[in-house]
Amino acid sequence: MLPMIFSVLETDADRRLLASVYDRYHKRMERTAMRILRDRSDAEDAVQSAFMQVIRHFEKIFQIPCEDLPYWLISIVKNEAYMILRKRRGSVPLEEWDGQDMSELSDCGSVAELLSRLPDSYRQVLEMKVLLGYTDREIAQRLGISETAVSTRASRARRLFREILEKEGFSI
Amino acid sequence: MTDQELDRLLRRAMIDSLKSEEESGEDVPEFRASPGHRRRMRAMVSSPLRWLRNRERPMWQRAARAAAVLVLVLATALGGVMALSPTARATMTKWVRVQYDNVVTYIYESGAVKNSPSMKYDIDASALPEGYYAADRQFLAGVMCVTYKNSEGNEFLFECRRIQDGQSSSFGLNEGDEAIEVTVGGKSGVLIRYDKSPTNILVWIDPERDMLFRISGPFDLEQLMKMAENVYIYGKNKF
Repeated sequence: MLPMIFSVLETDADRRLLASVYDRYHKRMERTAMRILRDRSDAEDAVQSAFMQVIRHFEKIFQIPCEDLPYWLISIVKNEAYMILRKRRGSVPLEEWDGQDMSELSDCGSVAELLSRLPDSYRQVLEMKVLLGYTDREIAQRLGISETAVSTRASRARRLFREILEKEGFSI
Repeated sequence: MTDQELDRLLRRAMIDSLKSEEESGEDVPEFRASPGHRRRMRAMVSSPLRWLRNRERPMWQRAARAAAVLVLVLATALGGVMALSPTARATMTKWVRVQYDNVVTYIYESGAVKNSPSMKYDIDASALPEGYYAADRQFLAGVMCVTYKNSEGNEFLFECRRIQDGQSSSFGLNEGDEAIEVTVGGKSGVLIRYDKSPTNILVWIDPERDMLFRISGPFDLEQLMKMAENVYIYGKNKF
């Protein structure tokens, strides 16, 4: 990871880009952290940890459409905030999903609403994998679970999401 | 639908979900950043990789480093007071070293306003590294800055400035970098030696004239000390 970071963040242009990303979006990131944590000190920690992730994954900035960039950042800080919450509570309240009663699913809404029907533990893994582009190893480290568990949750989440889409009449 | 198409759909859905969360209008307590947070974010923006490396250090390492610095501050302050004569003590200029994360800051305290005349300083040509000459001199708002160059286009800087109360110099240090206390002609100084950069910095103060000197260039301690010990006054200045 480090050599890539060095090659990306070595130039003044990259540093200026990072500075402008910070200037433009830090308030929204702070607000997101505050919404979840409701504590200034924890929110500061979440924002700082989020920028560590931004620096580690800086090359992705060039791959993300401009209009999606703030949400990429918000997703990062949100994940960091939830990690802090879990540490603060001394447990990892990620429920293990062992099947969900499909009859409980409500009428068709937007795809985003359908996504919210996934269990938190699955949605979080998918978000880190699909949206943030973290590796299984990184996700495992962040969630304190094994890489196998990450891989299992990701494939189950995809399968479940397909089922939800199918049930709601999406052509898959 | 292939896995790739599904992932694209998921990505879109996640972004839409984040948008609606953000636009939900939920009452969120106002965030007022602490000075420490603002300082860290400034450090992050100015030198992201250095900031990241420092943050990745285990907490115990950072704590041990801070403790070591505190001991050094106390030792420097006590040693300085004990070594100076009563006369000198009355008019002494001292510096206090503080460290936060990987940034070492020297804060200068001027004991008295001495109104000594400003002088122009230079490094004796015999002490300059071979081939170097003074290529540019700038006098700006209490600061004199001389750029020395050689024929290969290499350069180093010699800077001197009047010390004012509360003035400070900060240096970012990474693992492997060192701040070494030195004495330049009986005056206290510090060498900032960087592990991964060819440039090192020597800073020292002249308490009698309330002057701070600094040489930064791609040289080792011996060469920097040689230049520092051969700084001389060559005229009065109004800066």
